[in-house]
Amino acid sequence: MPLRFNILLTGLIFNTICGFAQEEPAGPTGGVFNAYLSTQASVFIRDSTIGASGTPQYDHQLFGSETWLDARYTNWGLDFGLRLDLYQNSNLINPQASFNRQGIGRWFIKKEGSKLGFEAGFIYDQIGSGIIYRAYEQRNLGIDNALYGLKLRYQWNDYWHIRAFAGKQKKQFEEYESLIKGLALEGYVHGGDSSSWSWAPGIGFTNRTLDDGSMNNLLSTLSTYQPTDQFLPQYNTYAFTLFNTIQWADLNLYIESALKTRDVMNDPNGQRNNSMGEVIIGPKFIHKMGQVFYGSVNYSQPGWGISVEGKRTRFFGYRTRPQEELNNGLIQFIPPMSRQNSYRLTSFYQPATQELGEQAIQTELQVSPASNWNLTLHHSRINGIAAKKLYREILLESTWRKPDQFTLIAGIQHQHYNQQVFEGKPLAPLVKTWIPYIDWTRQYDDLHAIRINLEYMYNKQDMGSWASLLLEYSIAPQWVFTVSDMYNIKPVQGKKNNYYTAGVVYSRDVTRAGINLVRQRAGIVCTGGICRYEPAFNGIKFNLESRF
Amino acid sequence: MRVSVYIFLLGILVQACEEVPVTLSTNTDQPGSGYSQNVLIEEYTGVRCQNCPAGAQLLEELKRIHGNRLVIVSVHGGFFAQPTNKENKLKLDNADGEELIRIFNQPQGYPSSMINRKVFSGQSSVFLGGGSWAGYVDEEKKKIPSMGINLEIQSDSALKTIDVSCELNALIIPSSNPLFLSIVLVENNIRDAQLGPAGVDTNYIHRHVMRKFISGIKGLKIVSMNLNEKRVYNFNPDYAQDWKLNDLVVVAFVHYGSPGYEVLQVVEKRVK
Repeated sequence: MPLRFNILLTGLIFNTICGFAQEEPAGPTGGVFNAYLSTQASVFIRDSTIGASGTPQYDHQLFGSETWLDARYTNWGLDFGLRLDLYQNSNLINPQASFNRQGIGRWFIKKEGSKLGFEAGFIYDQIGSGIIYRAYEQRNLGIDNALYGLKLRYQWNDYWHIRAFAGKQKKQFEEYESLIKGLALEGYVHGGDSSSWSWAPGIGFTNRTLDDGSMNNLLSTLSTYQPTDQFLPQYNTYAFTLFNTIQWADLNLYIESALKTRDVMNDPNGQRNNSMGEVIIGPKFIHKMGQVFYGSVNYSQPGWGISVEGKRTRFFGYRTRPQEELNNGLIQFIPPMSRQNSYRLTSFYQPATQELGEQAIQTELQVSPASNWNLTLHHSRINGIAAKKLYREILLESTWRKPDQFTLIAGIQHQHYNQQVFEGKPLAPLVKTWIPYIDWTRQYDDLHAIRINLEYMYNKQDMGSWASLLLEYSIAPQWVFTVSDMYNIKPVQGKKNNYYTAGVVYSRDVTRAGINLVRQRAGIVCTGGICRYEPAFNGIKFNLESRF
Repeated sequence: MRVSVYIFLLGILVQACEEVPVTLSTNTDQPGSGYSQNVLIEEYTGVRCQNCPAGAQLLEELKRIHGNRLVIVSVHGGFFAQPTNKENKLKLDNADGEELIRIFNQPQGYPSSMINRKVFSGQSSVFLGGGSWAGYVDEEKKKIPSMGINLEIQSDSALKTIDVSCELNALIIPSSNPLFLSIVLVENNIRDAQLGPAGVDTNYIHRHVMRKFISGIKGLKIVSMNLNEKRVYNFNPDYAQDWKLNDLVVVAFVHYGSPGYEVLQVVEKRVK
């Protein structure tokens, strides 16, 4: 980070703290300290039959770990936070490589509760649903795009506040050079204590200024394009959003509309001519204005409820620099439009959010025909630009609970998944799956329970059909023993393999530790619409989480 | 009245957002008699990488723009190189490629390239996707050369050997960090199968295929040099029976040692 920015930031923080220290009456002398430790360690055992080989971890490092120690201290009306991040032979950042760094992953000073509040350091925040700005951490995907800078928050009254922020996006232990600034005004209006309606409107604005290095690189690249594909980019991109949450009796409505000025985006499958007149299909910078419309409606009555979500995206790739790919440098977060399934086979194919163009709708109906019986009917429909079919999902699930005895969940899921688009496989046919599943938990007494999860995937494309079995025995509240296996029962290509796990989790007070023997297939892992390639794993995984 | 004030302020804001337009860079190649700063791009590719033909097209376009000042070495290795397509008849990956992957790790996606083996400002990896290649090649070309390299090559097709004479010329006072010389044999115009967007192309022409690091992967240590001092290193490698002499190219580059191996200068010359 340039010295000038450091000095400026330090000055701002110091002045702001001094200002607040004078404003706030002296609090209790004792502060509150707490910390959260999370560590995951892996022993890598080479198994070339499933592709668990050819990386430094399997070839010679054999051991890798990631640890986060998050400490917070509250006193004098201020919150202080410090996080130590340790990556040792880690494949979390790049699944094919080894990352070895340790240091301060996050620090912050925060002041809330008065008219003017602030937060300085590495800041997580979002505007609206995150479409024009979301700084967040998703550890299992290696995402940590906190904003390193300063945020000010002014509380006008009990119902309205405005906040402004500026800084640079974090990249592991460094920062990108581009600057990000933003402003959000949010409010809350309701019709009084006896009224059944409320309205939470908001408006947001962000701006990204490209750094000279990124711009020069971009100009050099564009100069290699033929004149028909060339354009002149701008340093600044502006994004605006208008969002509202309306609550009326049992109806909840959220609407957001976002607009982005012309910005440079990387179209990974772009087409352009080279100087010989040949068509090149590959990464191509495009210069487009972007927009997203997003809305959701929830309505519930005793015995049933319905939710509908819709989204239309056009050219809304918004990154700290256009050269960034995959999950790197994301400023925006566009909400996913598919169900977040948790079972192994029902979550096998998950659609990633498409920045360049997508229109989608999902509906979920929940009905309780009897007090112990719930039915869920879900439908997702995602199309790309020009109505190209990307994803379909229909799921019917029944949950029958008999308190203190058992819970039986049975369902069936049908999917259409466009592997060409979601996984960049140009020749792959549309994957069509049928997945029936049962999840049965038998509770013997207050302490002992057994859970059996059985799934089958019928699939004639991609990797073929699969079966999955999971057995879990728990002794509350401390022990959970798990054995599971996934087996490609009818592979379309390659050999049949067992992907098994066996493990135990021990919990006591605020500590949870687990050890698992894992043989895991390679695949795409998605969380909240953000996906990444996860390589095959064979070995032992150890997890520890604790609070202090 | 209040509305018109807001409109006026909005107008000022819109005006304030106008930027002085940027201009696209032009190729800065100037013919001259001295040494020019050349750029090495080592592309990681594989016969099962369906996006790699597009990457190769991008590289050829850059080669057309930069000519001899851009030297391309395509390294077949890693998870897209093995196992091969069933249509493949040749083995393009080799032990040197695997050794490079051991040193530099494997890129997150293919095709990816190292440009002068440098981690550029704002990047956390030495590997770059296709969208960044042109920019960083241009950036590296603008540097003042610190080393000059001249190659003289003779070959003996009967003995299947090549004589390589590599003359180094220290153009500025070399840093105290030890320098290394790497000599690579590269072959063009290899016809073999390659997966692409339309399936496996059995007549695909592979270019710039790294065949062998004559000097060893980590290079030959250069004895420290004085300013304007010239030094000659000779190599006499043999080459495999099925490599075509007319398509072989010798690439010579000077670089630092472990851990970064950053490249200072590179040249290439056809064997015939």
